[in-house]
Amino acid sequence: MGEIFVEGLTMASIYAIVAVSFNIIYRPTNIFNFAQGDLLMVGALLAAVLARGNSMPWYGAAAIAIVAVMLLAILIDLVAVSPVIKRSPHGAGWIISTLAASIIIHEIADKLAGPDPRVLPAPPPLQTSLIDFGVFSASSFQIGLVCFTCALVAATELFYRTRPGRAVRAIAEDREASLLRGINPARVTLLSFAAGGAVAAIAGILAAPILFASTSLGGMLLLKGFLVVAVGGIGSNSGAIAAALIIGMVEAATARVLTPGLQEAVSFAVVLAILLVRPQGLFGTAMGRSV
Amino acid sequence: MPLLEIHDLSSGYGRVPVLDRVSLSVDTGRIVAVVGANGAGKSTLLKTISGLLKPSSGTIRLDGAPIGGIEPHMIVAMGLQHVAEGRRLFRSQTVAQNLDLALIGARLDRQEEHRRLADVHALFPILLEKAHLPAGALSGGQQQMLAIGQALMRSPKVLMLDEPSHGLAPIIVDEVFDVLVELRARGTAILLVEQLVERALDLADHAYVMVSGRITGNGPATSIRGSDLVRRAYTGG
Amino acid sequence: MATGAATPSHLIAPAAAGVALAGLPLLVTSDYVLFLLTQAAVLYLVALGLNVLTGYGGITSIGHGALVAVGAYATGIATVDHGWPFWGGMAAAILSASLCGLLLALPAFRLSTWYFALITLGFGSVVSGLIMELGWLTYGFSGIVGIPLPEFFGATVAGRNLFWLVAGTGFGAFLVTRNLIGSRFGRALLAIKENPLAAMSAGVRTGAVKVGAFVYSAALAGIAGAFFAANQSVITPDDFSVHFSIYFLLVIVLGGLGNLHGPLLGTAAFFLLPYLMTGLQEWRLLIYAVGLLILMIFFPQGLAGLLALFARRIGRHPSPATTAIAKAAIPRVNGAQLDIDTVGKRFGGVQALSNVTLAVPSGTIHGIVGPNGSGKTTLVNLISGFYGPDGGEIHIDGISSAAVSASGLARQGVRRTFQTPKLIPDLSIVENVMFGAYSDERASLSSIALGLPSARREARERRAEAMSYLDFVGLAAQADMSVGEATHGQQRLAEIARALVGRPRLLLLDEPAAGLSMAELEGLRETIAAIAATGTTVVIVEHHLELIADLCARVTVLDRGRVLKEGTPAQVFADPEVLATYMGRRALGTETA
Repeated sequence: MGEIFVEGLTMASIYAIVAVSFNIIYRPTNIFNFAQGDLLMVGALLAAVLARGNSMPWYGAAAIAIVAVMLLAILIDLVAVSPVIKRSPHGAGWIISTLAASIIIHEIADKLAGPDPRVLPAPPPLQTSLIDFGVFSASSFQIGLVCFTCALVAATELFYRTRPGRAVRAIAEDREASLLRGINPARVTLLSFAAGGAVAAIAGILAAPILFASTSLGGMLLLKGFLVVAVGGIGSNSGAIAAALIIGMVEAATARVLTPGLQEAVSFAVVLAILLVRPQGLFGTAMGRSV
Repeated sequence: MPLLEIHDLSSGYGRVPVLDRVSLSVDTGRIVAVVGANGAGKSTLLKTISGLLKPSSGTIRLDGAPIGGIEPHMIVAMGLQHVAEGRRLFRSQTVAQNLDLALIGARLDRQEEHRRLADVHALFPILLEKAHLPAGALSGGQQQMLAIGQALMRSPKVLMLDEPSHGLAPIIVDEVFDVLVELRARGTAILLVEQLVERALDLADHAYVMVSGRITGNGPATSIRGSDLVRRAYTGG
Repeated sequence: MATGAATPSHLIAPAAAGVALAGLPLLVTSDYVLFLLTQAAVLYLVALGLNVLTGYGGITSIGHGALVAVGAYATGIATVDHGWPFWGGMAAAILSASLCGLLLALPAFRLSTWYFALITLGFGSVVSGLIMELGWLTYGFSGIVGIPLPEFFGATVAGRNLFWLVAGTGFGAFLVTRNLIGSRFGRALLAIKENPLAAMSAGVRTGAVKVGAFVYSAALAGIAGAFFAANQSVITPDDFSVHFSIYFLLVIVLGGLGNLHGPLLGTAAFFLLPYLMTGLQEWRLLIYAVGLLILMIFFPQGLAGLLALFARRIGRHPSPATTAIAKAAIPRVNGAQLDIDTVGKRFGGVQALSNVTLAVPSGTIHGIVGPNGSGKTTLVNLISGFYGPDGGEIHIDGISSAAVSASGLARQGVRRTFQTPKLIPDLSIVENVMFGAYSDERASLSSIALGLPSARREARERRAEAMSYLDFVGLAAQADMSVGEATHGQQRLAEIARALVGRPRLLLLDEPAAGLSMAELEGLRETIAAIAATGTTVVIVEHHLELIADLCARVTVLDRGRVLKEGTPAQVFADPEVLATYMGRRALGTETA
């Protein structure tokens, strides 16, 4: 039991960070960035390469990786999102264009880094070695990860109360009215991609000590992050935490009780079942006035 | 030189043209009304001026500078505010937050921000009283005052209002219109689109009559008031 | 862009292309090239189905490759492990792929489109995971070997014949798809993508149509999976990588989303690619993705859009813009009696309507007027079932409409128009009007799909019927115009014709006069009078008081969500309180300020 709990909580933390990175971009733009998984993967790989053999301090490597991913996210906005939205504001062309961006990043990373997983240690002074607490055992990294996730969600929510943060909410609520109040949505979109990219990079860097940094990390976490936002309600960070806990625990239990190979199928079935009952997710709001 | 000057402006939605070569101007310290039946293109005119719609031809000048086709936030920064129809507030945010949000991108110092806020509170004391309520919880009249208050936070040279009386009790309309008179006295140029024709003509210095996207006549509000132009604009007679 | 009309000229190009493709194998001697041609025909089947879902329905599927995999594995398992003949395997393939499609589509009832993209992506990932995990069934890495070829009366279909079989199936599927897209189902699918409210107001069960599209495209993927397995004779997990699903998206985007011939153009263009890229195997996915991105940014209409643009340049002729009223006879209906009893509605903190009571006798015209924001449109939305009231009751012919959805009410003869006309841009004017008869059409799905004479007869009758209603509103000359070319006034009249074709017992017109020219207004006045003369009960929300005064037996004045006055136009418009509401008190001298 203790093992399932610790494992579930650890994965839930990573999934929640991924989900927050989706939400940051989604809130002002109503866009679900399909390239998000690859941003995360680039963050993990870059940090792993830079920090290899202690050639660079861990935090320095992480900082460079985060900045690089931010720039990449901005590039995605400028190349694959904004031009497509401009052409047809209500179309779903961005689904295909961000998916294309995702594949391009993945393929290039594959050519450059190869398929082999790389090691990235936990951020010092944290360790991945397990400490026995009697009822359960957990590593200092796992504890730190859970604390960091809570802090990240709290910080994000606090940001939405500042003036720039409220501008983001304003665009989500009434785009035209926010234009008339002098908010520049193109700038907000760009900054949201930058911030969403940074958080994705952090998710990748924190996932790597457990899952290893490899090109397949992105696809897997993209899907998990999506399951979390779908269950939690897109845009809702508190929903993301609740949903991440559900999915983390379901997976950990499946791995222990059945086999790890069935993890994905079981959590997918659970998510489909939840969506059938509550299509807007646990914390999402139903669609508003449309006529 | 007029503060807002529009010459031969045409625009529309997609391939559907609405405005047909509209020309008008608004001077400092003047209230100019645009009257006409529903669907005549009055809201389209305001949306084109504030940059929500791109003009297909013609020019718009704000204090001499051309603003046609510029992004809305740039036009806001140049000193024009458009209070849209239907009290478009950010309902989940409080009254104070709505006012504060209007300052985004204005790059004012703390002191000036406070001065602006105090000024809006002086014009609409109710906004101070209800500062911590969500905007969605206000009555219709209070929401309209908040919408105008948001616009005034930027001390606009030109203020455009689309149907400010929309759904309000007459006594509230009086209150709102009194503020417009005060703003005129301070030198703001006001462009007013209003359904209460008589009320609008009472208030305005000058008026334009609009029918099917065209200006069919204009003149001092007092002379427009009794004229056949207005009756024809509404009844199609 | 997409036209459902099956005029012969539409068939010349595809028929020529079909003959050319069918003849292709005769020129080919290499078995490998023949194998590739057959494979291209298989992939065409998948693209055809995906285009229905993504191109017409606006639902992006990134997991279509996995549906093909399900079909292929079902065929493999049934034939190799259980000794079924190929055709039994194909039946299993269709069934299992359709079942997966159904499962994926069930949340479609209420979810927005990008969820599907990810759900299907997840499905793809789960399927490839399960192929590995369920080794006892799928033989894991080594795959299923020795899948038999189809047989006809004991004769094995192979080589050129196999190509012709698959290509023939593809042509059949094309015809079925064309018939469906040109029918009410296709119009409903487009309407859901472009304008869900219009779909509901024509009586479309939107969820069911989406699920139907999903299952149809999954079934095609299943058929393709069976042929895929037979053509390869060996299937392994490697056949169904991510590339596979992305490939189909690229094919339909390149060909032209939502164009009947898009999949063929896309497949044909892409057939060359494997040749060109044999040395670039490793770079294939990257090239696909760059292609997709470039297409989405610079040319989202694809090759078919390019050809259509070219054709339109050549054959453009301006249509006359008349508003003369023709008044062809339209059938009589039994108008409904509408009773609204103390109805209220709140939105957040705003009381949009309170305590509204009014009765409209059968066959009369009732006007609803009031300043902006007085709750007129909210009332129309309540009567037509787009909102439910917070209090009070609405009865239509004495029956409460509380539990009936908007599309259900539309099927019962409560039809409406919208403040801004909600036509479906991808359909012509007459097709938009035909769409209004959605719930009246009787031809079954299968008779439409097969193009049976009964279905074709009904389609002809529907078109003639739609034409008679267009004639009635005076738009017969604009029937084949695209929506984008129609003026605002013409769009309004077309929307009224669309509502009329459903033989409404109660017709709700939301500001029909807004934005009309003087001449159009006169036509509108005559049209509404003629509609009421057929027996339909009409409720008009309008600012144009003269129109209301001319047409309506009684008028209700709303002010801030309440009924201010009710009576004949003469009574109401002379009422000082009403005048004060409209013009302002000070102006009338009733109040000194």
